[in-house]
Amino acid sequence: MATHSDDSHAPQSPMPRRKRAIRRDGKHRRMPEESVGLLPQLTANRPWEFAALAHELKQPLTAILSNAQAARHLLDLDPPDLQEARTSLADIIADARRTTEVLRGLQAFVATGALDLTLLNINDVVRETIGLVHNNATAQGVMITLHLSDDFPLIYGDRIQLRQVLLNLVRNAFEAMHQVEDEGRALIVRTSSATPGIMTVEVEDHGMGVDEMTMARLFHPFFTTKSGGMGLGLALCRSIIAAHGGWIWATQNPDRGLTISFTLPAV
Amino acid sequence: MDETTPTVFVVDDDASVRCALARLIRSIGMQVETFASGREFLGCQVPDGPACLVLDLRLSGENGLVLQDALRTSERRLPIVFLTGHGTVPICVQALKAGAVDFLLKPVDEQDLLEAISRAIAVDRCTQDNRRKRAALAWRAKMLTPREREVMALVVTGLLNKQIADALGTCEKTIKVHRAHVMQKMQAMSVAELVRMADAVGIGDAYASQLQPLYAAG
Repeated sequence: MATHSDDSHAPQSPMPRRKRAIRRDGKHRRMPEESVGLLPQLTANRPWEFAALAHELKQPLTAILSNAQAARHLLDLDPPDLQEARTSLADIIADARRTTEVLRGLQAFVATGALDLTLLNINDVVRETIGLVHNNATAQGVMITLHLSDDFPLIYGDRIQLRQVLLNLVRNAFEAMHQVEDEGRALIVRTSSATPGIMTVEVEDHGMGVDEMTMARLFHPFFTTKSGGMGLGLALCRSIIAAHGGWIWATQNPDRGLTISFTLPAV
Repeated sequence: MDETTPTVFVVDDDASVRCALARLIRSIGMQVETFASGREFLGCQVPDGPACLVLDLRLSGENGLVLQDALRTSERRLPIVFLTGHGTVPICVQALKAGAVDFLLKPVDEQDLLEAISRAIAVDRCTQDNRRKRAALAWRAKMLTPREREVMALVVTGLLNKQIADALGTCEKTIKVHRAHVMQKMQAMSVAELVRMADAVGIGDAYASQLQPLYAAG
């Protein structure tokens, strides 16, 4: 039975309110960036992500504060426990770095505010992305099948960011299929225009799949099932797709694995 | 592990937070054991000495409040200090109503944490003390003969020896002997103390209400 992630609601942000400025000769023009500061932009447009960010920062800060206060006690001992105090400081440094990484990841969200829109063929973007991972696919024994529709594949989109989305989805799919036996490693990418005016892209894997609880949090920022992962990949995808005026969601395949689908308004 | 040194159990799914809290608590002289999940913690053996639990509210994959519930029904109910990076009032109230000693926000200052831990340890010491006393009383009560238990049940309702004798269908002298044995075995210095003991081990009301009709006539 297929289940949906809980993000199959309206897009996170409305269609970009900026006017489309595509010159007649097909060349693009950069959209004016919003001149608002980071914090107001985050809290107003994405209060949920801000809360997740705040929580993510509280963890390393808690560790830093407690480690520092512990180090003080350790140095006050008679004799001082220098070894443990040093370990404490090393941990503080590690956590400060962790915090920096979290903030760096955050900047990716900020970057999605400015879209470089051009008229493009989504099928080309798919092919480019698959081209990038072709070697990996061969090495990992993944069979890639493309079902690319010829009906209205033209959309307005940011080529680089959409490629980023597809790359993310394809990489996740590869990871999901790590644990699966060789014959089962199949990745299918589809583009279609079942609904006029909307282009749908589907990335289907036959990997491990995920449980109910993970499904519900798949697109949450900072949610990850990978050790050492930061959990921003899918949240970033959602951010990019939303900025394009589309939606993204996940469905569990009847047999095994996940299908991540997203829509883009067609020309 | 030393019986009297308090042990603090820290349950948090974030490894560096776990480690830092443990280091801090250890640095002021308490024993610490850390766990990454409620499940892990429930599987461990809690020592007899005074102890408490420092628990992150939102453990990945399970809720801290769920663990609190599970602990409530376990034999060893450790006092809990909640720590959280979230801070909504309803959850805080819920946790406190369910018996948490305190509810602190992350990042937590050592003062607040150590104070809450002290309070929690004190609560546990008290609880353990009472438990031991009750166990000792129960042991003594086991030494009573069935007749002595009956006598004790009636003594603590305030009946005179003569009334007790009537209720049980025997003579006052016999009752006096039983009464003396009861006081001796239970190690009670006074009837007032005996009453408290009877309450603690549950000797009293049931018996009394059964036998009441028998003496009411007298």
